[in-house]
Amino acid sequence: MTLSCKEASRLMSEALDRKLELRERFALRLHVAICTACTRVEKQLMILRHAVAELPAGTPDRRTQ
Amino acid sequence: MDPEEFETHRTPLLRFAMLQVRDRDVAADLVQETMLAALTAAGRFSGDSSVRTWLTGILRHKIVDHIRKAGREVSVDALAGEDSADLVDAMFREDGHYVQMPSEWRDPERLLSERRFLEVLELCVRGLPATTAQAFLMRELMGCETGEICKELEITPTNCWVLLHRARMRLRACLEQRWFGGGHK
Repeated sequence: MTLSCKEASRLMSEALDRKLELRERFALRLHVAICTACTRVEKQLMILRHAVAELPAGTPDRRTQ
Repeated sequence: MDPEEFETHRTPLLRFAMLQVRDRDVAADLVQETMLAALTAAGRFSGDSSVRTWLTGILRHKIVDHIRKAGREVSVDALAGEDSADLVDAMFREDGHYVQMPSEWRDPERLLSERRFLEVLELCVRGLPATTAQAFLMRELMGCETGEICKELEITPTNCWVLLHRARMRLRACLEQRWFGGGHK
């Protein structure tokens, strides 16, 4: 029932790829609510997702100026 | 597929290729080859996946071929032979807590508009093992559904989620190290 941070990180990641089951969501919310580390990582993963979308269409190739 | 339709996908495909091969010209060539393949194989688009996913699949094979020809390893088994499992395990203590307290990433909006931050992210993505990077980029850059990614990479959904989890955890650790802890503001 109680998750470790490691398990929480797995569920946080999977939440970005599939709909979590109710009990998974519940366990995750319960853990994150009392865990500073996981609160931060959850935010990091959201920022990561948005950052990838912001990656430029290609950094200028320095060889060709 | 007609050339005009392909053009709507060209820029995302180029970004996908550029994050996996180092040379911009090579990436552009691979995208061009993908277009030729798509235009001549129009009948073969099955409609099971989105056009974007179909094109990404064609390009992905061309990238893998290119990487192999360049003499770099591409793991045949998506999960074996790539060292991400150990790296992710090493982030946690035996009791499942983080070894290093994750830091607070403040002011995301400013972060996302910071060009240097995105360059560091690009560097981190390039540091991922080939298959892990492909799964991650198919998901986050090309917006493919995980079901489509599993089919393309010939892995089970569970393994797909495992790969994506490893990719994200490695990238967050890489950013922590190279951006948030590395003397940048």
